Amino acid sequence: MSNKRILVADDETNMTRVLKLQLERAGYEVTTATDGRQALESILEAPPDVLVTDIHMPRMSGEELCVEIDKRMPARSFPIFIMTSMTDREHRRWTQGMRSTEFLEKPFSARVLIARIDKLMSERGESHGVHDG
Amino acid sequence: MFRWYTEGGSQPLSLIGAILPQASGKTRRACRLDTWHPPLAFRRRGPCARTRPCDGADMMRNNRLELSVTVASIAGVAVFLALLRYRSVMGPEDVYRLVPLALLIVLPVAAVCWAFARAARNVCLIGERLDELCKAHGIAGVHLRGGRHLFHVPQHLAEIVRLVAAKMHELDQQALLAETASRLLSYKYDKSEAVLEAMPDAVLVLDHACVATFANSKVESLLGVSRQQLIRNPPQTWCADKDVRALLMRFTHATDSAVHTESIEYSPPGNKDRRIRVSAYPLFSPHDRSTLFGTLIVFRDITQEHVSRRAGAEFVAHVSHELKTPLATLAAYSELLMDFQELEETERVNAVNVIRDEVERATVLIINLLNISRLETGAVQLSRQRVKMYDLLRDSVQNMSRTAGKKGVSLELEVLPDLGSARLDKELFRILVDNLLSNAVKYSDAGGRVTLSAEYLEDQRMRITVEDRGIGMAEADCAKVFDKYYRSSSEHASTRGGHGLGLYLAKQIVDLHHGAISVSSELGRGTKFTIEFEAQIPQLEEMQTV
Repeated sequence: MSNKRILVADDETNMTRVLKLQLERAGYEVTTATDGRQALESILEAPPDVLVTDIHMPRMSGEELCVEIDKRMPARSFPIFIMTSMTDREHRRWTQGMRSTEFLEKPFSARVLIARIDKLMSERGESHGVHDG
Repeated sequence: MFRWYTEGGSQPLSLIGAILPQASGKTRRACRLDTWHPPLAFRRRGPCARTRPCDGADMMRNNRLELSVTVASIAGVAVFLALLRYRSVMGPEDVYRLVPLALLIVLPVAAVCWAFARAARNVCLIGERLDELCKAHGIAGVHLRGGRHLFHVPQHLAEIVRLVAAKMHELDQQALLAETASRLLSYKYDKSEAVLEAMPDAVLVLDHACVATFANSKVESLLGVSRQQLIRNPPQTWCADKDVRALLMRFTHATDSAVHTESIEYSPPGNKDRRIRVSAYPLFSPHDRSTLFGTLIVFRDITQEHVSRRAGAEFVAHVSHELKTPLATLAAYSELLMDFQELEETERVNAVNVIRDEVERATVLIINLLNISRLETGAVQLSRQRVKMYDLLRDSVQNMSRTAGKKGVSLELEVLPDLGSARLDKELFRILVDNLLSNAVKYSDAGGRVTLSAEYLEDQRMRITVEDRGIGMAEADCAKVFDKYYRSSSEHASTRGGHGLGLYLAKQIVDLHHGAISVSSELGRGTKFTIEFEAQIPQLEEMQTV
């Protein structure tokens, strides 16, 4: 579990910094990116175990990042958490048809995020375990 | 006597035809003729004689024929009877003596027959014409009768003339009423057309077969089709949009129960920025809801409404993002401080600083939003007062100096302490200067310099400039920098926060002071904002505004 790597992409450096502190404390390895393009480059180089991304980012938005990942990595296995300030479904429609994407509505508690990541990782670990066994 | 009617053309006859049903019993009886059958010569003349007025020459020709036939037959019969009676006792001389006597008897009789025949024929002719007229006007059972009543007609002529005059007066009245009604109708039609023409929207009226029968002038500018192309032509020839065509034909075969007003919105081909709403209203008869006259089509240009609706949605999205982002950071850092007891001192200090900065960021946004809302809704009353400009500008620089110092940007106030005063809304003007300074600091890098200067111009105008040596803007950004929510998409600018409201608010405040704000900038060299406004407004305006 300690080897799981999480990529946090957000142009708000204060946010990436605090999420990095919290997630590292929870035992994850954290890398950060300040925009979508940087995040995409990092993912293509080495796919993380979880991606946490904001939507409003310069150069490449979170939405463009997800679409690009979906296009370039059809067999993606890592889940994506999208941080958004939009509550209505209209703004979430673009994720239809994408596998394992979840929305995190701002403001959110880091504890909730960690709990959700933990749950996902343990489920995957088990299923991988069963599969491997 | 009857010739008086027959020679006058068809009009007197038609009048008699019209008044006969109203005439008294005697006159009606006098005009009856049912014992006389017109000679073959009349009947064979066919429909031509019935449709044209009786001609005097015709009459005379036929009378001579009648006379000769009558005289010849009577004379022949008399001579034959005389010869038959006296053939045994009389010699040929006696027969010759009888001939003058026979002629003396025959001629008067023939004359009376001739007169009677002529009068009766005329009456018969009138009868035929009247009959025709009565049939044409739907009046049943009018006949002229011969015998003694035939000679009563002249006695009743006065009554007939009176009735004709009364009928003519009545017809005149009816004509006047008809003319008035026609004018009224024409006036009402013109009025409805003027109402439709004055409508702010483009109005089109389709008949029950979906063919345009009326279009006001606005249709031409909105649809780009001339009225000649529209009127009497089916929609296929002038409407390219499939959905609009379907709407136009929506009520073609509709019945009352199935019909409701319908509207759609569309953008004309080749002009995606324009938005038009088309509404179709069924036109029922006001007295009978099952009779559909056609459809009223109203085209309304809703481009402005559409833009503001979209802007409203964008506003919600923008504000939602701008407000929730500092909240999310606040939540995360407060949680960090709460949960992370073993946090290093530097991280702890940083967390507290972040919390303070984010609170400030959210506060600035909320204040700007409230000010914009007040300005846009007209809730702000400009309260001009005499303000010492040096003090106002110095306070703004001092307020900003902490933020600037933290970034390593130096703030300089190039204003002489004896600059003098201006009449302006102090609160709003401070927001304006603060926004320009914070903007300059935001887009300056460490080591940068922001200069605030002010000077009096001629005509008691004042110029304030805020100049930085920061990252600058491209020309395209300069043109849009005062637009609401506008934020440069350039990489350097977009990483520096901001909510795209500060400069918009600045422009609103300058406008309210009847001033002008402009920007000049160069990428990598810096930006300069210049405000010019009237510092000492004339006395009259001063009295009104204070």
